[in-house]
Amino acid sequence: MLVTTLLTFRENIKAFFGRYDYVITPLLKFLLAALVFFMLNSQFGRFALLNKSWLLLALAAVCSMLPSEMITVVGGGMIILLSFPVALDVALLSLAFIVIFYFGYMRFATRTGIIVLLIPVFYALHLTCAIPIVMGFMVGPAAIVPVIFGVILYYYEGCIGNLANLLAAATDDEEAIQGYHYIVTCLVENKLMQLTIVVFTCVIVVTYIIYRMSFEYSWIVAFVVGGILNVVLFLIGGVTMSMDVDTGGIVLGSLAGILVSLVVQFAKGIVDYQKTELLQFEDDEYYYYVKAIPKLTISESNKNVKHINSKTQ
Amino acid sequence: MVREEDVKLMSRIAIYEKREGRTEIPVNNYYKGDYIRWNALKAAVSATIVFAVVGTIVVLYKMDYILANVLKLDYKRIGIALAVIYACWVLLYWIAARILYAIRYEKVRPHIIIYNHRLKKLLEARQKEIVKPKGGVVVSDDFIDF
Repeated sequence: MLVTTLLTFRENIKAFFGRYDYVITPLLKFLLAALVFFMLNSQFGRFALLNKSWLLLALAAVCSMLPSEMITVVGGGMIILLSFPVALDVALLSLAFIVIFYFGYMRFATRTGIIVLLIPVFYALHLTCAIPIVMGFMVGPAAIVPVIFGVILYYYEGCIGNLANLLAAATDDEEAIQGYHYIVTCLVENKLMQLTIVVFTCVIVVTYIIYRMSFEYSWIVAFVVGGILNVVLFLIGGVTMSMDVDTGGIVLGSLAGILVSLVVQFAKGIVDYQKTELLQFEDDEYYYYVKAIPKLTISESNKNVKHINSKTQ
Repeated sequence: MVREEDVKLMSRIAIYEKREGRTEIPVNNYYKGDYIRWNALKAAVSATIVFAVVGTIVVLYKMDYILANVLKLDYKRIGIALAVIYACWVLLYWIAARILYAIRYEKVRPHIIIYNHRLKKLLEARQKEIVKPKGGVVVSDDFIDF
């Protein structure tokens, strides 16, 4: 009964989205762009012009009418602009970061580029450990590079914040702080960032492999194994690299990741294993062993059909 | 006269051209081999740019060490190491791009076939409509050549 209610709810949402697609798609893009831009601005937040909320909202409104890749492009431009007030060399480093990402990855997979800007959002929502599980099944191995860049971006923002505080507190008598050198050292010596990158890469790959397997309930197993692997790898990494890792946060984050993945998977469609069909046939060259599992949907009787063109004559 | 079948066909064609077609139709301008080679070449150029930017960052970061040891460095060894790393890096991109674009071409092909089929059906329907009622109206060359 609960499943039927949930399925009806899902179908209603799908129908609603389908009917008002022309409004909902730009609105979702606007919300996504606004979220990303405000998050970037709050992390850097030293460029007076971009501190105006109406400007960010206007940028988001423009992005809502353009292809979604434009959010990534505008976000990249914002990162460079927001780095300028800290130091010129830091802005150039930001530019280098964007160039590496664009030529190294985004040229080949433009659509998944937005993941980079979403990672700091996940961090801000304390859903860090949910990232690899969600990305593992939704995007697959193609998400590894943008997730790595996203993690670097998050810590990069932190380093820039520290540098800005140092520069603000520094007096003229002290030795000049080299912004570029400080930021690169901050990143290179950040063990937690390195551990996060390794763990996320492993979890994405494992979640994706299990999710694609054909045994029953492979998707649930993929999410649970991904969550457990997350916790285990962080703990092992913390011990071997002599770091304090927030065990409670990792466990809760992984649980949140499993829950988010279950909800997204439900929205994508779940299957009815009881009606699995095993078929076998052959042609001149091959034998085919086919396993067909129907998707769980509500029957026609459960749909509320309103006839608007019924013939009354 | 509005023909329902034609409108349906035109709508589907327009939807495809607006969405996936934006990136998929240009693929149809190439043979598979040419498409893969051209994109692998572009990937190699991108890999070179990334290598140059990363190299510049590393050199600037290690500048103090380089200046302190400018006369002691074994430039021949460094040059060979850089060349080997660069070759491996570009080769990795080249192979990845070949695999990626081969898959992409095969993914796009059925969509293009359906798109062309719909265009052909639309053209045939239009030709029938023009020829039937008037009895021998000439269809312009521009209309046929798409």
